[in-house]
Amino acid sequence: MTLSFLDSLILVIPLLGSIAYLTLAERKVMGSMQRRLGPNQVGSYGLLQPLSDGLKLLVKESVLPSQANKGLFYLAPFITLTLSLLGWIPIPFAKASPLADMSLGLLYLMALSSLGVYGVLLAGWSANSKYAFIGSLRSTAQLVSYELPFALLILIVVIIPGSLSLSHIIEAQEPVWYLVPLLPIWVLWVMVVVAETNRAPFDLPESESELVAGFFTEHSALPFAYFFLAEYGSMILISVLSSILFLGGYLLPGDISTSPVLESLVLGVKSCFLLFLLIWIRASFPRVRFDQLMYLCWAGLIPILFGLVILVPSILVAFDILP
Amino acid sequence: MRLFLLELLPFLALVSAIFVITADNPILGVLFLIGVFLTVSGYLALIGLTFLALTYLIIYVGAIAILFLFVVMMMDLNLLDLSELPSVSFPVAAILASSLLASLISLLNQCNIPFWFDSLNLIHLIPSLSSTLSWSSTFHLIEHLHVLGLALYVAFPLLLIIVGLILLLAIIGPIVLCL
Amino acid sequence: MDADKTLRTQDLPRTGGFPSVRYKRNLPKKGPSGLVLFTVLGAISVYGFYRVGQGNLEKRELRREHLWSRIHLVPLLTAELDRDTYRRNCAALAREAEIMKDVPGWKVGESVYNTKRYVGPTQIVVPEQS
Repeated sequence: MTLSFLDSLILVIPLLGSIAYLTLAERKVMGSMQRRLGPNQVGSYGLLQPLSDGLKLLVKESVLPSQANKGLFYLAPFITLTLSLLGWIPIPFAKASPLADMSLGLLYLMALSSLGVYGVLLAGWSANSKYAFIGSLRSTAQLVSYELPFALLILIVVIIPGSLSLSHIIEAQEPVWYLVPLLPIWVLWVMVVVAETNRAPFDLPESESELVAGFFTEHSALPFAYFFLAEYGSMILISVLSSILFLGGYLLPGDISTSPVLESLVLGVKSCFLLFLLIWIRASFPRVRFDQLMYLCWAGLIPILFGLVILVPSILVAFDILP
Repeated sequence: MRLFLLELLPFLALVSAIFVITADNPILGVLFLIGVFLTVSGYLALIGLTFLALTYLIIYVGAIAILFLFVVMMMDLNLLDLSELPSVSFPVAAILASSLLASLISLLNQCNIPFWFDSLNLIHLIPSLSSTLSWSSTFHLIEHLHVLGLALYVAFPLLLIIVGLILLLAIIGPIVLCL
Repeated sequence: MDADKTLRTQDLPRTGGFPSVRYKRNLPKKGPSGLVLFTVLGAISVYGFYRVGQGNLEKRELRREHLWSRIHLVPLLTAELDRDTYRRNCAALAREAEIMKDVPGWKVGESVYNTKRYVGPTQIVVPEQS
């Protein structure tokens, strides 16, 4: 089946809408957790707030620093947003209906997250400002370091169904969702997800924009909007990926006859749980210092993941339940 | 379209490789190196080696080129001026390059690889292989990843263990060097 | 007289003194102990892997069935391919005979090689790949 333009539009336009409303959801949920109301002035219950934010960002003037590398400065947010949107291609919303069912879909998502580091790196370097450069180097180091536990966790989860294709992984979860046998691994996965999406408590690259600067400090208005969209888009993408890998994707427990609409709603509800978890984590934990972050990755997560990468296939081989 | 890309991507890879060497700004050189990796990865995907293509993206573009970028960005490298290069190195370079090219061409000529032209729908068969068109060999599609796994773990497991030991050495070595 | 008043309204600590302030760190260990947590999670994992094992064995059998169904189809498809090849061969011979009918001493379908054994074709035309 060829990828028609209409398919992509049907995917991208609701996705951009949901990214916009995720920002509102985050502010309202964090407000509730901090015993205050979020934005509630713009529409009723603040429902028009993302639209006014978007309008402000569109209307604002985008400032280009005089010494900045103009090409890379405008290329970097474009790369980040494009790669973030490209990740939605192999995701199945219902039975056998992703945009393109790749047999190596999960590897494709890993390749996109590896390429997404370039947006950050080139943005900070091209801005030609010390703080942006330091922020981008830190963020790049964090993203590249947490690629390793990401890959190891995916390896552990993929050993059980024996396929990298996302549809096959969901279909293989029909007896039991992979959350049940791999609950401790899910805890590590949430940590790596929070680090990979630059969310709190691992959001040194972002928080520095509250304190001094971050990698997108020199980008204003539309480039900033691209980075913003890309970040929340990758948050939604990785929640959907987590619900596919661990929570059974669009499957309902038990033997219920489902329609594609119901299945995609199920996937959406599961991803909403995970998004709520990400926002909850942001509201609960203090920011981790950079060296503590690196220590956690290299001396904490990777050794235990090496052990788990040996343990889980050994369990499968020992009881002869390999796929 | 596929045939066009199959011709265009190696050409772009060669052009990017030439720009890597002749770029005056080292960052531009590394960016063209990334271009080489991207085009070669695309070419591999078009041939059918999808796993290798994605692995190129993850490892070459996503780790090695970032390492190069870190080095180039953080060190104070002087911009190289091409006109300053001495011309005595040109005959040596010519001899080395031509010997490499000769050995590569002679190696490729020794393989009897069946290839296909998409635009003519012709398949050239090796005279000795008469079962290429049989259904008994095509009903089970073994993916590229599975073939790699069979080669590494079934056909040459001892080599895999040796490569693993070399990797272990490569991991521990820099740690000892940087202590 | 005034001194008495100030003594009575002086801001003194209450009688008996205040209770002692807790200044040491207090992080009480609450919740299930490590062993309980380990056994509960282990039991959940055991159940999970049991169901995973059932699913994987079922998938193995399904794959075996899939491959055997394809194996059983191979003779039919080979026969059809042979029929098609033979028809195309005859058509090619007929075209050759039509083109070379005026050439004296031309044996239609003659092998271009000097040997008597059958040498297969080196070029075949296949349908366009979609």
